[in-house]
Amino acid sequence: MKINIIVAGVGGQGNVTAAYLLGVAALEAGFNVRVADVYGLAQRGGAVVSHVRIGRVYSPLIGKGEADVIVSLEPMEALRNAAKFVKREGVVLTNTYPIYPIEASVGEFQYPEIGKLLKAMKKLAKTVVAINAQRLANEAGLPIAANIAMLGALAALEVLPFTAQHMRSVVEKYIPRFKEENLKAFNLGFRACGEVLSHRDR
Amino acid sequence: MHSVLHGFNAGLLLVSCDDPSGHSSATEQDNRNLAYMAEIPILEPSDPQEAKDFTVEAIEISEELRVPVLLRLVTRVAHTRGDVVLGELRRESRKPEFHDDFYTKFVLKKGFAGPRVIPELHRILHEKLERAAKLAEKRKLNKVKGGGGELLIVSSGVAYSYVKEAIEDLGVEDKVTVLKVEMIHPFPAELLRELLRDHRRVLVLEEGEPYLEREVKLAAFDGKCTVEVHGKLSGKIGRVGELDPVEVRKAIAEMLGVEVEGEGPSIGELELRKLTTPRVISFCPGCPHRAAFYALKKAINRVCKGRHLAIGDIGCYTMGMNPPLRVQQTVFCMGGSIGMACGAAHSGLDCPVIATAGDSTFFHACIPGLINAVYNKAKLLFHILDNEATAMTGFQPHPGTGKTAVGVEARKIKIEDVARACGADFVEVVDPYDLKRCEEVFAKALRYEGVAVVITRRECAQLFLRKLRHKGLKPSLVVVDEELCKGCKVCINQFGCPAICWDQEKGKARVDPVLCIGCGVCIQVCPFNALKWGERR
Repeated sequence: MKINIIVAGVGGQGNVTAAYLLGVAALEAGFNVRVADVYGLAQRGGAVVSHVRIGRVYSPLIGKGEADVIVSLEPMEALRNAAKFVKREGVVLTNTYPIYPIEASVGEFQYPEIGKLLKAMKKLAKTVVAINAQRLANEAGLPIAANIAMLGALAALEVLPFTAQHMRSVVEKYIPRFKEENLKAFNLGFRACGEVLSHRDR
Repeated sequence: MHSVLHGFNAGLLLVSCDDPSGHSSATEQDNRNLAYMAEIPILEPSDPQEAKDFTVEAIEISEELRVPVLLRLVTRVAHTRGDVVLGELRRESRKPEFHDDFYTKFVLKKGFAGPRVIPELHRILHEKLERAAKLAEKRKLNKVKGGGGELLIVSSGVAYSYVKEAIEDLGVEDKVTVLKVEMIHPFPAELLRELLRDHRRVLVLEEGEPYLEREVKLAAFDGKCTVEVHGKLSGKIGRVGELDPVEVRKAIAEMLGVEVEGEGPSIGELELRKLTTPRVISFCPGCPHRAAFYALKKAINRVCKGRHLAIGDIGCYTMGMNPPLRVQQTVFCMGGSIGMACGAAHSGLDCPVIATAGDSTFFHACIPGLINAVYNKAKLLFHILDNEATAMTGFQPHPGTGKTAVGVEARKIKIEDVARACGADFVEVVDPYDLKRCEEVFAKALRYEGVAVVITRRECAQLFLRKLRHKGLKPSLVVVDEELCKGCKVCINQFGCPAICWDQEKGKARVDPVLCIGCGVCIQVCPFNALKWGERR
């Protein structure tokens, strides 16, 4: 068994933390794990990608077209990484809240409508799930917890080799501050993803 | 180079991480070549577990041979987390004692130095390297895996993890033999030559320069073995950039004549380019460096009509190269800027010369350069961007932070005091959030006939935010007064705070409350007073 997960986002969104928690959850569930973070120079604002590999794995990197799941904290990053990594049978789970790159604000690039981004993602992967994790994090009372809401959503996808409850307990155990808000964000993400899935199945 | 010959009476471990592709480096240099030059043993781990295990091996080998040992890492090992089984921790305390072979063994005992000693020490080093090769055997540091077939793969480090996975994925365990080189230097030539008896084709997979590939060829030549050697030199593997697991699998499959599955779905470059753009890295919202560079740029435009040469060090301020500020033109090493700027100032260049450095860079490597520039009468502006932090690499303490290397309180050393002690007469400290005053000071400094040191000092925005959050407080917020905003985009095109976005429909600026940390500098930037303090709900 091996599962390849790409966690993507923009510096400052808690990408590395989300990948770390995912890795710890896998480890505590008894799996071998590799988590490789790829971040640029900036503390904030650059594209960040973490490769999370669970099971019988040796390489820290996921090869082109070999990711089972893309979890992205930002929609443009979701497409960028889906185009590179996702398997046709794979899943793209993305936050719909955009972080505009400087080029978009300056006017050198027009940030696409979310619909267009999602449409392109659907050409790449069988399943695409989009939720507004930023809104959920705000609702939980902790705007920086969009990453935790996305972990909740990921747990609802039933692609992880452990339960949502296990993932939740790892979040609770390893996030030292704002526990209540983080768990609320997790639950909201879990529920939001579940709703999207059941809506789609109907 | 000295410690290698002079010896010592403890272990000395060097850890160096190569960064193929230059993810966060300015070069792709392969430091195995430096260790080769120094003639010291090199160990290379392939994953987190071995990173731990080989650290112990390397220290023990170093202690035994009294020679430094290099632990060579690459980005994908150093930046990887994984399951690691811990061993027992060796605890011992030894009384420190001075020892130096050169001094203790020769000068003191035999009464001679210089050419009578150095070649002798060099001979001893070569003996130590022979012992290192034997230790590798004894400690089973180089491994042969699998067997059968005529293909031999020679690999090490993270490349080996790609090889191991590719062999499993392709199901070719019985078709290849793998020599996993763990002690890179001295290279296990004898072991390789044994394997070359049964293998006629060799594929070398390694990260960085074709170091092992050359060693393989050398060993084959010495053993009079006629073999095909493939790798980076033969063109089988890309010569630049980091390896990719798929590239490795393809190369192995090709050598074995095995079919590999085609690539996954794609949406075409054109569509992708329309929908995505690479993110130019920039300063964080509220970063004092953005404000400092904005003021500097205004001063440059005013005093020298925008013409200047700004030579930069490496640190957060390097992002001043990127749009929209585009102040700094070079990025080399720590301490490089002031030295290069001094040279540029004396070269006869007909525009003002600026050197930029950060606070930790200043303490680390700028002081001799500053003394040289002042003493030799260079005319330049030395801009020190002091955010009271070593921000880009993760907030390690430095002499300006008031914490020692082990986190104990200490008296801060002030950059302005050091600069004055270096002989600089023009030394000004300004708050970068005060744009007007900053611009004035920079304008004065650009006209100064000598070395003008300007220190822009304001705590790193990330540290500021951290402290705020620890107190359970929220940052202030700036909002756009849509009636006053004329859509001139000065706040975006010239200042470039990531918290300010462009509202396409309204044709006005918009502040993202999630990103804004309420530094308020943009309020000073807006020519129409459209940016103002707001309330967080």
